[in-house]
Amino acid sequence: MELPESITAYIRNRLSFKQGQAVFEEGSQARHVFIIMQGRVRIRKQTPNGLLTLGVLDPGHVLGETSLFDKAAQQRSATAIAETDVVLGVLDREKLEKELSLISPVQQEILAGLARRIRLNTASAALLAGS
Amino acid sequence: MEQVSPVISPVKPENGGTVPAAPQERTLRYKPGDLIIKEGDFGTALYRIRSGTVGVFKELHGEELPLYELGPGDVFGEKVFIDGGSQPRPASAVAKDAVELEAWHYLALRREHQALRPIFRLIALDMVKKLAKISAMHDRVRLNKNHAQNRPAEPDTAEVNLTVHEPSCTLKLAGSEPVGRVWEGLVEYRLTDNPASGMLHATGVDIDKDGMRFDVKLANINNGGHEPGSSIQLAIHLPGGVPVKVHGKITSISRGSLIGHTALRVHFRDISAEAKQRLTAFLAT
Repeated sequence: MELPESITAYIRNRLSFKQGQAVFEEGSQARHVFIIMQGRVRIRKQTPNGLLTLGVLDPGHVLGETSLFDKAAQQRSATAIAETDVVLGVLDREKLEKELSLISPVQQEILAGLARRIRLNTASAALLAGS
Repeated sequence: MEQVSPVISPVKPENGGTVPAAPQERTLRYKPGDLIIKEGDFGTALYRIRSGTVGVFKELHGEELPLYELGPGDVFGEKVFIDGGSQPRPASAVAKDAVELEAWHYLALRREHQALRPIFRLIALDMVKKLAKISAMHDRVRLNKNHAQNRPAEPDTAEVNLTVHEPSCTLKLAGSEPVGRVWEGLVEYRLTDNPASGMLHATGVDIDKDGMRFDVKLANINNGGHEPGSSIQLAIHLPGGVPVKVHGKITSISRGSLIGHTALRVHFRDISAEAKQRLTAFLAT
């Protein structure tokens, strides 16, 4: 997928994953924010009753962005698996964090609120599915 | 430069609640037990909790099915950001204790969104879409669970497959294939078969290469030949330069996001090369 320059300017390097490989595991330390350039990534979460798929993401979607906004949650809330062979762009986190700090506090709070909700609904869905 | 500034009506509580006297203040206060959002209603605001606890629930066969509780810093009602309030609220929200909310009209929010750098625009839209998907799945799991409780237990299976198959959500990203964007701006239009209707004004809310959606302040849209299939001539005021003129057909008519408004979906036809070029350029920025 061709991303506009306004987005590719944030890509520090690219990482390739083979089909079935884990991009990151639930519970691990959240370091990178990715953008999907090629392929599809399945997001799933462990529950006592098995794995719950939260969604399959196409190129153009970001991955692992919640840690950017929600400082209280620096662990991956779900596992990301390469559904096909995948190419991801690693976004420049320092640049993102710096620019984020320049956004109005209200907008920062709304972005953080959305990130919290993603985590909350993810956890809540897994809890429910596992009960 | 922002050419068009649609009037943003002050946010009103959807179900009671007190609005403080100062109209600029977007704070809403609720007492314990107050209904903030009623499932099935149409609203135009996204809320952020300043203080208190909000319970989110769905109604099923006359019973309340709690989904989750939200606290300070959490946002809800975020789907208006993508659907512009054209879809009914998927769940109800009730104040569990004294609650103070910050309310954002979706148009104001979209304006804020437009002011963000493209990377944050992309991430914010992505989060809203993911949340819509996760919430829908969460609700389905909840409803299935509830349904299952009323049935005899199924025999144990060695492996429980909880995979919920969802159509993958394709984020429309302007790039090699400019597809669409959240947009607001002035649209002037005329119904081709009813020249007497004259030029009407509307607010464009979404646009893509195939068509657009706009809101018109007409409670009784049946006047003047607004019907699915009607031919329409549009002058779309995209930023910069003269309006883009296109012909199209009305494909659907629904209740608008504001009271007394109607939402029209139009499919473009007969776009000139120049109009197409400007539209493509606009979608790609």
